[in-house]
Amino acid sequence: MLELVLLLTLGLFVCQLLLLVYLYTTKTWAIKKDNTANRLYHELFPDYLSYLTGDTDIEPILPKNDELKQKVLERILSGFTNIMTDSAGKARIQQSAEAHLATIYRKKLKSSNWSKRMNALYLIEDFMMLSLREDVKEHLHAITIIDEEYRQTLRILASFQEESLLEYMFSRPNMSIGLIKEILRRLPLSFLTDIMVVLKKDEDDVPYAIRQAFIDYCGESGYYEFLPFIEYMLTHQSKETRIKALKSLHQYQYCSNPTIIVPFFTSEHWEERLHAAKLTGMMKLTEFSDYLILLAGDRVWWVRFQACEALKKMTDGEILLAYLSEQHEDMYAKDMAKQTLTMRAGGQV
Amino acid sequence: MTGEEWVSLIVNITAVSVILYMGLVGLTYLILFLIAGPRIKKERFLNQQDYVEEMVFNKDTFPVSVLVPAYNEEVGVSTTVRSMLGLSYPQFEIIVIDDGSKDNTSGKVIEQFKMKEINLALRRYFDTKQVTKAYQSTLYPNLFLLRKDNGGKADALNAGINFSRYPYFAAVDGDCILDSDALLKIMKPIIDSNGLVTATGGTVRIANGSTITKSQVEKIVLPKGPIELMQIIEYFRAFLIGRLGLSRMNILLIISGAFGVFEKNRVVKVGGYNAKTVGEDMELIVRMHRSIKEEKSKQRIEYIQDPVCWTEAPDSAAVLRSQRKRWQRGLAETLWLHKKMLFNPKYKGIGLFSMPYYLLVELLSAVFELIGYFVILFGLIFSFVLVDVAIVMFLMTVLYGSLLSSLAVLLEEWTYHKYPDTKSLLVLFFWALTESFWYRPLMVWWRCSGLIQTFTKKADWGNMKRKGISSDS
Repeated sequence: MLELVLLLTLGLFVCQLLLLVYLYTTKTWAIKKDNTANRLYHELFPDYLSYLTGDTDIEPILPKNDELKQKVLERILSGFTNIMTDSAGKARIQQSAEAHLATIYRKKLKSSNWSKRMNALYLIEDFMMLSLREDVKEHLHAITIIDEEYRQTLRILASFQEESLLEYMFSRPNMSIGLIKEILRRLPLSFLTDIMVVLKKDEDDVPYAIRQAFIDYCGESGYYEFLPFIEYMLTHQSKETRIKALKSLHQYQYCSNPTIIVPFFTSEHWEERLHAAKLTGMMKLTEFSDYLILLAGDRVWWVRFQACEALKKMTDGEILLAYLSEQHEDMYAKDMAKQTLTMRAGGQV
Repeated sequence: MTGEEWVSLIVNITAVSVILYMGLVGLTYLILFLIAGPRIKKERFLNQQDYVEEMVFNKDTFPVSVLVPAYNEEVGVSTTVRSMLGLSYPQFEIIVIDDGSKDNTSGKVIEQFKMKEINLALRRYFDTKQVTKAYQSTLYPNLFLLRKDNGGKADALNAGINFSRYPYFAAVDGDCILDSDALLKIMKPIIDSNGLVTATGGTVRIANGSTITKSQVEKIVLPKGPIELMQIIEYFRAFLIGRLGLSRMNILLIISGAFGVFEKNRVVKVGGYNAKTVGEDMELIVRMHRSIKEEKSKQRIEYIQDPVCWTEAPDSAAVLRSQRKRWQRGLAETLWLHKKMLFNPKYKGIGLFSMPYYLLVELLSAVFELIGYFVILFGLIFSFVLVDVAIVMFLMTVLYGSLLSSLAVLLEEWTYHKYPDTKSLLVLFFWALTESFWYRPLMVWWRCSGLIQTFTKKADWGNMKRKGISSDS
């Protein structure tokens, strides 16, 4: 028994020793590689600056080693991607990436290492490497787990304005509203118009999440073309859709005919009352102040809060709130009016 | 059999039981390592910046109320608030809750951030001690301060929830500093899962030794003191092996009070923090799990290995002792409060694995180890125990700790590799090997005292005297 334990101890001790050697070696190696990459980055940066800003047409010579080349070039190009605004500069970034990284990323997409695939996917989008479109499409079909890899692959295809994407989305009823919105943000107006046409024609052909995401996104994008559609959605039979439409109007900070929000002031659903109050404040619809005064004494705290916030936004808001804080028959409304008067707007609810 | 033989037999049986128990505990940890390791390995090379980049500009990133309960934190509270103000996150508010401090905690916040008193129309999800005053910063409209009568950390957090406006809240200790992208990273699973993840916990790391300037961690350096060094290794092990392993099976029972994010609706539904226990962070999570299981909901509670919250660890044995006693009491109280869940198949993994794990491994291992030490010591002195058995026990104790600690160092290197030199690795490794000879026996003794204290003491804040971790505090 003792021999066995001693043997086990020795084995585990060796394990620990090996672990230490492994850690020490990999760390030393990683530090060395980082230092080399760092040095090369600082050497190449000024030349790349001239090349990417168009001062020269000669692209600097990169190291031959693939790993080093990738490391240095990614760092340089990523830095510029965030600050480069002109299309010529962007085109050069894309060109450099296509020339030196496309083959590397094509290989990385097939890698068994998740992080490496992910990093490649992020940069394919950042550098807009259109030559990898088919590889990315193939990659999407190979993905079996719905995780960040799946989401990033879809984001890339949306950035590439891949036409088959709409059909793909329509056939996936389980996609989340958040992900659909991320895709919509990358799509051009023509794609969005196509979605609206289908929604108008027969909304049952469109998954629920796409409808909700689309309504939401219309306001976020501020495309005026979709405003009549959003206003029409205020009459939808689904409460959630009506609320989404109201939220979308918040983002527009506009609606063509304010009377359409009147029914919501007395809605049986508190969320609708809340959003109606919020919209009234955003649009400074003083003609609806009486409704807001009424809602300042609402049974739901959030509605009271929003009604007073909305009143504060009116030209005579502070006077109204001061009046409410003294005269409102409802104690809660008085308290809320007092709080709103003393509190600065610090983010929206 | 003579009386002496009887004693010897009993001691030897006890010794073998302790050996078996220690072996089982070691095996449990090893299994947790095997579960946690692949996740860490998977994300080892991930570019973390790209991973959360989308969220910074995304209008669907849920707004978060950051709650900072503080009691006598005048030294560190401004640093903490500054680190919060520097968070990279689209929409958030910070609510500092001064729980009747006897020092100048409120004064510091009011002065540093130019606070102005506001009137309150508080919602009352929970009853708390009286909130006496509320302030809003004139410099940062999303920064608030609540002053309330002393009621303990749980009560302060409940008051913060009452005041908060957003659907998610982060609870952050008043002595902690967050990395600027910590909130983005900790919220990512919630956003990606479309709300299916109801709470997430982040990693807490020890700031002692590192350079923190203007509430940002600038250079990560190991501290010099052995007590602080051992806590660093201990935190790696607890977070990277224990919590990640349990989280992957959705049976994690602790989200550190230092940094966690919660869905407000779920917390309100379960009744908020329990002001009658010192382990309010764990107790809340157990109740949340309980309600999730009772509702047959698919919601999950996750631990994220990366979001980093920096805290100041005790640098003296006396302060560490009181901290560990308190933790042990918190654990014991929570397990006692929810004893119905223990071994109860209705609660699936929580009842059948997680609760027994916390009872038998986290709570009672100290008792078993203490018995082990006594058996070795007195057994050998009075020749009640076989020398072979004593050696086996000793080796088990040494191996059990040092191997797992070394593995934790490996995971740290895979996850953060933030120590910039190889020397730090060697230092950590060396101290990991020494753990069993001095640190573990100390812990065992303090944890056993903590268990005894469970029956004698009232809930309190259990704060330690802070030195402050940022150079500009």
